[in-house]
Amino acid sequence: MLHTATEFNRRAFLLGTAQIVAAARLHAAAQKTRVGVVPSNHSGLTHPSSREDPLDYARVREMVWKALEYGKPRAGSLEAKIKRGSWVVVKPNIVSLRSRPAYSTGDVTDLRVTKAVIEYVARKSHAGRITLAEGGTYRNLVDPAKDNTYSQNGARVDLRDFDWGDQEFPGLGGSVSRMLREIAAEFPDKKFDYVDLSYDGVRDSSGALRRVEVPRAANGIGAFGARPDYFVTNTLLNCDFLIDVPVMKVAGQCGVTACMKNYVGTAPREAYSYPGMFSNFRLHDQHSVDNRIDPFIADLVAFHPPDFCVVDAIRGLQYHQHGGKEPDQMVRSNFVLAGEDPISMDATAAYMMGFNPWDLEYLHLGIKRGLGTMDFREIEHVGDEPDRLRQRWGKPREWYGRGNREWRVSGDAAADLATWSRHTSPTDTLNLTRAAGAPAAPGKTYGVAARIQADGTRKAFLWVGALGHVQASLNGEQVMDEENTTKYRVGQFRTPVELRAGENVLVFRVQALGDSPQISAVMAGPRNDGDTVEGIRWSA
Amino acid sequence: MLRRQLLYLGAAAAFARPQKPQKSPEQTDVVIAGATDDQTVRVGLVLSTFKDSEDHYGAKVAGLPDPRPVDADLSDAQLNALVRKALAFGTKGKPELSSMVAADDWVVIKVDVSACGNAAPGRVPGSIADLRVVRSLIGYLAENKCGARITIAEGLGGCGDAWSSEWDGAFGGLSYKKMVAEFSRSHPSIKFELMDLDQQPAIALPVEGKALARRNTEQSYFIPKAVQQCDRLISVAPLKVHPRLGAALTFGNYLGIAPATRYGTAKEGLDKLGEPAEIAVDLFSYHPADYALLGGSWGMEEGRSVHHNLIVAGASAVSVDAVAAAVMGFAPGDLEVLPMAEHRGFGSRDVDAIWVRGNEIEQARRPFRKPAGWTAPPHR
Repeated sequence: MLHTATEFNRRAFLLGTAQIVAAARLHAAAQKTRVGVVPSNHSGLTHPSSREDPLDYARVREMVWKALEYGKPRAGSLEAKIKRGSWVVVKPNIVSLRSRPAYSTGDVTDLRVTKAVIEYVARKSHAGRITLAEGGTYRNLVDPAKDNTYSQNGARVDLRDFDWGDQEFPGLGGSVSRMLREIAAEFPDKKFDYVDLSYDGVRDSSGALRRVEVPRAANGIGAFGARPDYFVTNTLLNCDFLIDVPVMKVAGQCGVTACMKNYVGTAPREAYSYPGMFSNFRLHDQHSVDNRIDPFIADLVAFHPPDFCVVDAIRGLQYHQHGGKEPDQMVRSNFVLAGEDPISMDATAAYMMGFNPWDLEYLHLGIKRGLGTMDFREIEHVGDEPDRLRQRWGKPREWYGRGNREWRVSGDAAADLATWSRHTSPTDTLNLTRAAGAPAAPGKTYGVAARIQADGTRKAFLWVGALGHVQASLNGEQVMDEENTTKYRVGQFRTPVELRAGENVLVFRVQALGDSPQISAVMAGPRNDGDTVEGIRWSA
Repeated sequence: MLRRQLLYLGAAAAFARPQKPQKSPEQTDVVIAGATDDQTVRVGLVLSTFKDSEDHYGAKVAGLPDPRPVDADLSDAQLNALVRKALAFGTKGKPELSSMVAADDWVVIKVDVSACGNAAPGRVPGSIADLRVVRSLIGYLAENKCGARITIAEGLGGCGDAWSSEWDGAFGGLSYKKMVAEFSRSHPSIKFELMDLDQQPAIALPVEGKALARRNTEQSYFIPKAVQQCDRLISVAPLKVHPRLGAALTFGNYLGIAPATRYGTAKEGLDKLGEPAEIAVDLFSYHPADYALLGGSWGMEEGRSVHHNLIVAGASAVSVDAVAAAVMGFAPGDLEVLPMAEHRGFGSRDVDAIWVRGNEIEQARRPFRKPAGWTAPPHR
C-alpha cells in the first residue's frame, strides 16, 4: 500500500508538476509577442508554392491572411482589435514609382500585400473608413513644382493613378485608385480613400505648417532627435488604427528598413524637401544625431506607433535601399511577417536578412519607449521557423552596427581602473572631455574601458573611431596603436582580435592631440561587414 | 546617338525620361526627375586641342585658354588648364570633387609609379602617372580647402628612388619630393606626405561579399592600413597597356596596393590567388576610388611611350576606365576587369550610357598597339 501510495503520490506529483509546467509555458506563451511567419511554401497554405515562384494575387493574399492569423494580436485577432466605425490607415512603403531612375523591383511594398491587408480589414473588421496613406518622391497633381513629376500616356499622374503595369506585381495590374475602387464596390458600407502624406502636414490657423512635439511615452521618454518637434501629418495623428505595411530591405544609414523605418514616409515632404528635390533631406539635416537617423525614426513612430504590422518580404533590395547597379540586388524571399509589436517584427526581419538585430539602434530607442521587445526568448514565431528562412543579404557599404555605449572613463589613464567612473554614451561616439569632465590639454591621456561578455571564443574585428592617439589593449595585450588628427569616423581603424569565452576587458588610452578627443568601438564579426559579432554583450 | 539620347533623358535636373512600356506598346511613362534622381554618370574627356564649343543643349562651353596640338609639349600652365577642365567636366555639378572632399579629410592619392626611376628607355614617361597631373590635382584640392592630410601613395617595391627621381626631365624636372616640399611651403595648414605602401603596416581583411579571385581560399587580402583608413582615395594613372589586363588604367593601378612584403616586389604572390582582373576588382573593393584621373601628356602602348595630351576624369572609376579604353581602341568587352567591376556594382562600363563631356570619344581616339601575347577574351 505504502509503495502503491507512494507510487500514486509520485505519479500525482509528476502529473501535477507537468500540468504546472504546461500551464506556465502556456502563460509564458500568452505573454510572448507573436510574429506570424509565412513563406510561399508553407505547408498550411492551400497551394504551397516554390520560394522562387513569382506568385499571383490569390497566393499572396493567402500568405498575408495566414500570417495575420498566426501573428494575431493579444486582442485575439486583427479584426477584434479594430473598433467598430474606426478610421483604419494602411501605410505601405511606396517611396518611388516604377519610372523613377532609382527604382528597382523590391524598392516598394508589393501592391498585392497592401491589397490583401485592405481586403482583410474590409471583409473582416467593422472599420468605417480605410485609407491607403503614403508620401513618396512624386509630387501630387496640384503641386506647381515641375521636378519629380510623372506622367503616363501624356497625362500627369501621382501614386493614385500611376499604372504599375501587369508585370511588376504579377496578378495585380493597374493603379492604387483602381484597386480602391474595386474594393469599394465590394464593400459599399465602408469608405475607401487615399491620402498623400507628403501634403498632409499639420497646419496652424493661418495655414502655415506647424511643428508638433514628440509625445512623451508612459515612462516619460520624449524625443531622441536633434530637435524635439517635427512636422507630422494629420492622418498619422488622427486615425484610429494604423497598419504598417513596409517592404523588407536594407537601408544605408540604419541597416534595415521595415516597420519603424517606414515612418520616414510619414514626414510630410512639403515641409522637409529642398527646392528642386522631393526627398525629405531637411528631416535628416534637422533631426539626425551623430550621423544616425535612428533617433528621428523612433521619434516619428512615437506620434502613432503601429497598431499592427505586416512586412512584405516577397522581394527586397540588398546592397542599397534603392536601385543600384548590381544585377543581383533584388532578393526574392517569398515570405510575409505579421504581428502587433513593431520591435519584434523588425528584429525578426533583420534576423532574416542576416543582420544582428542588436545592431539596429532604432530598436533600442523603441524599446526605451516601451514599444516592444527584440529578445527572441520573448517572441513566439508562429508558422515557419526564422532559421529556415534566414539569408545573408549584402550590406550597404556605409553600414556599421551599434557601438558600445557602456564605458568606464577617467581623465587620468594612469589611475587605477577601479576608480574610473561609469558613463553611458547616448550615441556610438564618446566625447572624452564631456564624459571624463576633464578638458583636453596637449598630451593629456584619458582612460576608457569596457567589458565584453562572450558566449564562446570569437574571432572578431575591433573597429575604432578616434580623434587623438589611441592605444587599445584586450585582456592585457595591446591590439592597436593608431593616431588620427583628421576627420573622425566610426570604424576608421580595424584590427583582428580574438575574444575568449566569458569576460573580456578592453582598455583604451586616448591621448588628446586637439581639444576634442573622441572614441567609439564596434566589435564586428569575422566577415568584417559592420555587423556586431554574435554572442557578445557590452558592459561597463 | 545613344549617348546623345541619354543626355536628353537623364542628365540634368529636369529631363523627361521615357520608360519601357510594360503592358501596351503605346503606353509611355515620363518622369521629370529631380536633382536627387540624376544618376547619369559624367566623365570628363579633354584633349589639349579643346576649343570653345557648345554642349548638347547649345550652351557655350569655354575651351582651353591656349589649345595645343595633341602631341605638342605642353607647358605647366597648359597641362594644368587641361586637368582643371577635365575636373570641371567629370562631375555632376554637385557633388563636385571639391564638395566631395571635406576640409578635414585624409586624402590618399594612389599614383601609378610602376617603373623605377632608371627604367628601361621607352617605358618612361608613358608607363607612370604624369607628375604634373598629380601636382595639378593637389593644387586643386589645396585651393578648394579639400583635405587636411594629402598623401601620395604607391607600393614602390624595388623602386626606392621613385620619390626623388626626376624621370630624366620627362615632367619638367619635377619629382614627388619636390612637389610635396612645394605644397608644404605654400599650404602649411595641410599635411602633405609621400607613402610607400610596401613599407606600411598591412592588415588582412576579408573581401566584402565574396572574393572574385577563385584561388583565394582565405577570401582575404593584406591591405595597407592607409588604404582602409583614409577618407578619400583618388587614383591617378596613365593610359597604359598591360600584358594581362589589356589596359591597366584605374583598376590596374589598384594592383599596386598589394604590399610587396606579402606578395613580392613584382606582386607574384597575387598570381597564386587568381587572375589579375579578378584580383584588381577584389583590391578595388576595399576602398573604391572616390575619383579617378587618367592620362596626361603621355601614354604607353606596347613597347613605347605615346605622346597624347589627354585627361579622362570622373567619380566612377569603371566609367572612366571604359571611356579611356575606348579612346585606346579597345572594343567594349575587351577588358575583363570592367564587366567584373560593373557586376559588383562599382559603376557602368557602357559608354553609350555615360555622359562624356568635353571631347567626344571619336575625337580623342588614338588606337594603342596592344600588348604582345594579350588576346581579348571571347565576347559573351
